[in-house]
Amino acid sequence: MTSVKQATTIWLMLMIATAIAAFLGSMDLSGMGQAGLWVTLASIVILVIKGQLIVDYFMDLKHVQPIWRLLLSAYCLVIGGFVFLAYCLSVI
Amino acid sequence: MSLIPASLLVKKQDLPGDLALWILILAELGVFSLFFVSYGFVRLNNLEMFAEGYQHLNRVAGLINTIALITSSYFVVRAVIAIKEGNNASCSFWLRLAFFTACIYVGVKGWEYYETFGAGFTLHTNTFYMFYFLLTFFHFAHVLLGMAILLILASKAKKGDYCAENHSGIESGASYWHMVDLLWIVLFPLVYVIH
Repeated sequence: MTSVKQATTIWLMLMIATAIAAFLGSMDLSGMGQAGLWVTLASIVILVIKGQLIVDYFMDLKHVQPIWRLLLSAYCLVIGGFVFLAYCLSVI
Repeated sequence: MSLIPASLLVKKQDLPGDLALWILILAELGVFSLFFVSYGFVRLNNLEMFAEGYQHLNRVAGLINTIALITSSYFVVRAVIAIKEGNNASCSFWLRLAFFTACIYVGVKGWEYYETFGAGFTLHTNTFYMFYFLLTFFHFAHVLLGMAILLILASKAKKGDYCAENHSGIESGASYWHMVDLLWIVLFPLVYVIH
């Protein structure tokens, strides 16, 4: 079971991750070339990390039957992967 | 012979809430996932249109809504911890706090839609705005339903309908609310950040 201390720590981590994502979103990528791809990848990695923290600690699935954790974790991982693929195809 | 490896079925801790609710959660995530993937690939054939649409989005509103939903989810976690300790009053308090934090989301979303419609953009403007309105409105509808659930649970917790030994309803409602947050976790970067 997630404790108060854990939940508060996770909330703080989610806030920091959100701030970083917002900063990345404010960047002007038009003149960055390949670097823009890395910025997008960073945004997606942050998305996956945030999703996993919510699945593990807010939804409290870290210690349930692994199949449930896997299915919920797959949501962010698979969608993040597809979105990154679509973005890569758009810059090729 | 099972198709699922036995290691994935080893029981450690009970799934929070009702199984039926988790089937619903998976179904909802599945439907939105199709939406998100479609958005990503339709953008491929409409790069200029999506870039133009992105410029008009209210990213401050998106950021405030992200903070509001994550914080609201945190309050819901505090409510579940409280009911597991048998503290009904505290559980009700945290659920009401989660509801009022979600009201920030509703207000900001209203502001965002007011600005967007005011600028002349609608569902029929172009493909980007079709996706933008459909994605954000369907998510908004889930937020409103989740808020109603939070209020009902807060009231029932205060009346003593739940206790430390029996609080499946609270966990189910909490799981639904975290699903709403999980949907926004993808929607925010997909529409408001990645460009």
